[in-house]
Amino acid sequence: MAVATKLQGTTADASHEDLVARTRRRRRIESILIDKVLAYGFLIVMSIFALFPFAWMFSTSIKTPQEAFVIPPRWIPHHITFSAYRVFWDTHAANNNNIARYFLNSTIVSIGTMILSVLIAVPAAYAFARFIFPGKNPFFYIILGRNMFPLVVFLVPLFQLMATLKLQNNYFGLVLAYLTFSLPLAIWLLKGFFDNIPVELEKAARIDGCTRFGAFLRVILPLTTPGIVATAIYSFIGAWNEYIFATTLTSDPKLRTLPVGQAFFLNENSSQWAELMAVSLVISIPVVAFFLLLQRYFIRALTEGAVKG
Amino acid sequence: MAEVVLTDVVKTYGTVIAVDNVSLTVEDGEFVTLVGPSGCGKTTTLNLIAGLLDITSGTIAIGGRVINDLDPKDRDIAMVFQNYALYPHKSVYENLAFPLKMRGEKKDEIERKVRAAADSLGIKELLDRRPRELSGGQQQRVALGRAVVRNPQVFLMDEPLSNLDAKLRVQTRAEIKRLHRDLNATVVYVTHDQLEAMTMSDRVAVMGGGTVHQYGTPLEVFDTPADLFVASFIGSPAMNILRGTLQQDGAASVRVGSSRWPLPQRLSTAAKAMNAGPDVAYGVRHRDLSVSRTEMPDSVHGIVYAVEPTGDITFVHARVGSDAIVASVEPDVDLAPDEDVWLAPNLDRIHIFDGVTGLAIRDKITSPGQAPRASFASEAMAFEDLPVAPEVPSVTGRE
Amino acid sequence: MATATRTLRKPDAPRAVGSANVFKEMWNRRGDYMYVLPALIVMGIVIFYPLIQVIWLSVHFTSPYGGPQRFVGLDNYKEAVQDEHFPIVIKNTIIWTSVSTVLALVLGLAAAILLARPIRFRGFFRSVLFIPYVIGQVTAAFVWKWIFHADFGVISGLLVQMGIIDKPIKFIDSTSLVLPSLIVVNVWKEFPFAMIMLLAGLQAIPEQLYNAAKIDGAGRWRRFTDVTVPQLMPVITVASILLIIANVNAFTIVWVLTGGGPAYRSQIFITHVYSQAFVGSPHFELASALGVMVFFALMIFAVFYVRLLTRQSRSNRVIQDEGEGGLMVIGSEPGNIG
Ligand SMILES: Nc1ncnc2c1ncn2[C@@H]1O[C@H](COP(=O)(O)OP(=O)(O)OP(=O)(O)O)[C@@H](O)[C@H]1O
Ligand SMILES: [Mg+2]
Repeated sequence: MAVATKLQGTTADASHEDLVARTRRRRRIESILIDKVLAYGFLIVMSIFALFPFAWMFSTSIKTPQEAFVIPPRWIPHHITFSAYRVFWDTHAANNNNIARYFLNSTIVSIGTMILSVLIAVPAAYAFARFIFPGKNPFFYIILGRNMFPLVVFLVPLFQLMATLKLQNNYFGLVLAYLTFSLPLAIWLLKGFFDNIPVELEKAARIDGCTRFGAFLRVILPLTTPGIVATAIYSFIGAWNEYIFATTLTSDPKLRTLPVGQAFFLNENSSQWAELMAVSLVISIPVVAFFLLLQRYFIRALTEGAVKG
Repeated sequence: MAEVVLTDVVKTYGTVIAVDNVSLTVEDGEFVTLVGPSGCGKTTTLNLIAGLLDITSGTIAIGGRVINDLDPKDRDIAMVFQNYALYPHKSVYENLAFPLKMRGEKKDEIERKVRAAADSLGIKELLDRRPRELSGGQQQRVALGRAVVRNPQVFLMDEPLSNLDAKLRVQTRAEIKRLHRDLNATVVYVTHDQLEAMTMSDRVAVMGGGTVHQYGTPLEVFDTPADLFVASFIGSPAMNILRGTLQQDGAASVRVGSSRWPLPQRLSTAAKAMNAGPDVAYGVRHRDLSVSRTEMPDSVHGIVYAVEPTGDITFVHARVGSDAIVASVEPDVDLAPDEDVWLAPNLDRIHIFDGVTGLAIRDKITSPGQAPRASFASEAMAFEDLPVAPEVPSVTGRE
Repeated sequence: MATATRTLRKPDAPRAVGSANVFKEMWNRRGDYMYVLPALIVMGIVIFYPLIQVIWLSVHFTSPYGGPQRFVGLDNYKEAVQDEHFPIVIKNTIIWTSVSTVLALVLGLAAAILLARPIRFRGFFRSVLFIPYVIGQVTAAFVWKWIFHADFGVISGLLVQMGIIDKPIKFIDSTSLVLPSLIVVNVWKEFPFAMIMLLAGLQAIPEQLYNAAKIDGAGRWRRFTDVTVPQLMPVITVASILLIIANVNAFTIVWVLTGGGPAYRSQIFITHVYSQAFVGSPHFELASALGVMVFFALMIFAVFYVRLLTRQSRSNRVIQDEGEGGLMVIGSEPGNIG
């Protein structure tokens, strides 16, 4: 170490010292300016942009109808009241707009869509990921191509179809309609997950005595659980948030889903902003909670297919 | 002048101490290898030298200048990464040119240097290709080329051979060694493969748990391991290590179970002088055990468990009490499992370590390394005498 | 990616099966079809049939008052294109799509770059920034409608309070501000999508490339242009295709917030299609023709992009196989998935 001590302290080298000083200074500036001020500044601004509508939603929902129309608007109401939330149980408060019922409808339709999508998509996605059979490619392209076709255009034929099948104003009819967008998405998402499971695993399972279907059931499915969960969530949320189909295919007010009910709510009570915001907030709670709890799956599903190489 | 000097370098990740007080001097033009098991902090140390990580405490100097606070680009180093880290979107030419371009060199100068480097590494024909279109070995060469082209003071290499197949690895090993000679550069090389470390380096730093256990020439770390860790890490198959108690009554020995392993008096004395024991670890390499079918003086009885011919030599696995011992014999020696054998250690080449601290117990005057190393001849004798010889050949130079 | 996809990507790759053998092959593989049969049936009902129906409708004359339908060739297409509002709808759609996409990508990329590094509260910021993406389109539209309210809107209110303006801005009730306002809402809703995709892309870039670049002397900016951008390009491409498709097919936000008004200033393609079909006298045939048009436009665009993408990523690392799948799927209404 003798060498070290000698070398470290003593070699006076102006240009080196200068470089060290400059590097230190630059790093200090960078670490403050870029890593702190810029990074956190931007993230905070973005977070405010992302969240302030929710804050405003909440603020409005705890106002009296009068205070909602105060100029300038107040973020913290002088009169805090939760009376707007009465719309959920008091059917008279909102011109017979039975929000609790809509909640139930939305839940049934969303869960139905979720279960059907997953049940049908899992084997199909597996076949697309693994098998080679005539007709596979055209079929898969049609599934993908569906997304280039605006959903709105499907409304007309679906409307006629539901009428023919007597499935208007019917939970199953709505679920079936939702499969239009839910199924292709589910198949594609799941295919991405299946693709990422090494084929060798199945080979091993089959050598160990499983049939092809047995290998799928015992080895592949358990490994795809995150994918299935992710797919289920997306199907659920897709159905939960869907609006156009629901509004077109159901005319019976008793069968309205939440977004439809919400939309009618505005039309029928165009000045009841406090109540509308209360409803909006409560509708959002399940999806946001779902997301916060199962974030991992959400994000994986979005990125699984697109990024992994 | 490009010695690399690490002084009391510490690196922590939160509560994990990845590098713990490492001091190390790599002389100008020296080839030093950091070797150690996975997770011992080799990569971290190298990245600290490169400036890719910030040092928690301590200093690193290159060419006499403390470079703790310099950016990697100002340290005049080049690095070869394990996965090569070639820029996938640049051609081989652009990959090689990139460090020069960053340094603001002129176009024709860059061209000349890139061509020269490509020439010397035999990758001239690959200059227009993308990394993706190269084999593993070719990518490796390009990675080397990108380091060489700049002619830096210090080369840092992090397991550059680990992604190559066995044959290519041996070949590239030689090439890197040659490159080191030709460029007369300082090289800090990281590997977990002790054979690579032994064959390539001027000096080896054996790392474990974030610290350097021993720093010396390959022969030093092989012949005089500083502690149990080094003893068991360097050498393949690993040194036989037996835990036992030091017996000072009568002839010095180490008692392991019911067997008594012979010990030269000088080590017994050294142990006493160092206040070590009575718990010790007894270490002997396979080559330093003579194997005989008949009992020899200072030998231990064992039963053959398995025999592994490698063509070159044959390994004999034997059970002594509850311990498994590896010895080696000439390939023509014919031993069968379950045979009785006697194992006689070469008293000049055994090691003992304090059972608590793990440090080597050595007499200052003649530690095995300084004693003439058992020559090939005498080793060969040890094998030769197996079928008959009742006697351990007496070897020069002790007591 | 498994080999299955590779075969998928080359539908015209030489295969041993001649056309005569197709049926035999199908029979031999009948077990495989069992896996896709349920999907096949459902898709037949809800995708195939409507698709054919739409195409059929688009080439037939249909009276809003009933009566026989007759084949008219491309007349419906001609009529749809010659609609007096068609030019402004196209203009709005192009502005809406391009500006929304670029802004969402820029904001998403900036957020992703900041979140790709181990900074404090990373998980918190990521969650918070992702929230707009998961809530419903209708909900989003309503809250923004209230925020943009001509008299009691909170943004105007704040600006008035701060003395920056003296009377409330009519965001969505003004012909000049309506489209930019809607774009803000749209970007608010979809930038998290870009952010998450780009974040995953950034995290897939090997750290060693940055290390190598640092040692080679590249500064922050150089590392960004020489490592990050080329490595991220395929993901950026896929994200932008998905966003473009989603934006072209967007409906709910615009419909709920403005219904296309005022004076068609926010009428975009799909709201226009919807109006044709369901507002006033129903013109299903015009709506269908428009639907088929947008389908082909997106198709051509997507094929063009896939070409670009596969050529690009052949020598780069990140995505390629998924490009195709990726691109079409999360499309149409982002509301479909949240
Ligand atoms: N970013 C990190 N955060 C926390 N701990 C880390 C980090 N990087 C490394 N470590 C820890 O530091 C120790 C040393 O790691 P290092 O990568 O230097 O090991 P190594 O000797 O190069 O091992 P290998 O031979 O496997 O490459 C390990 O215990 C590792 O778990
Ligand atoms: Mg390492």
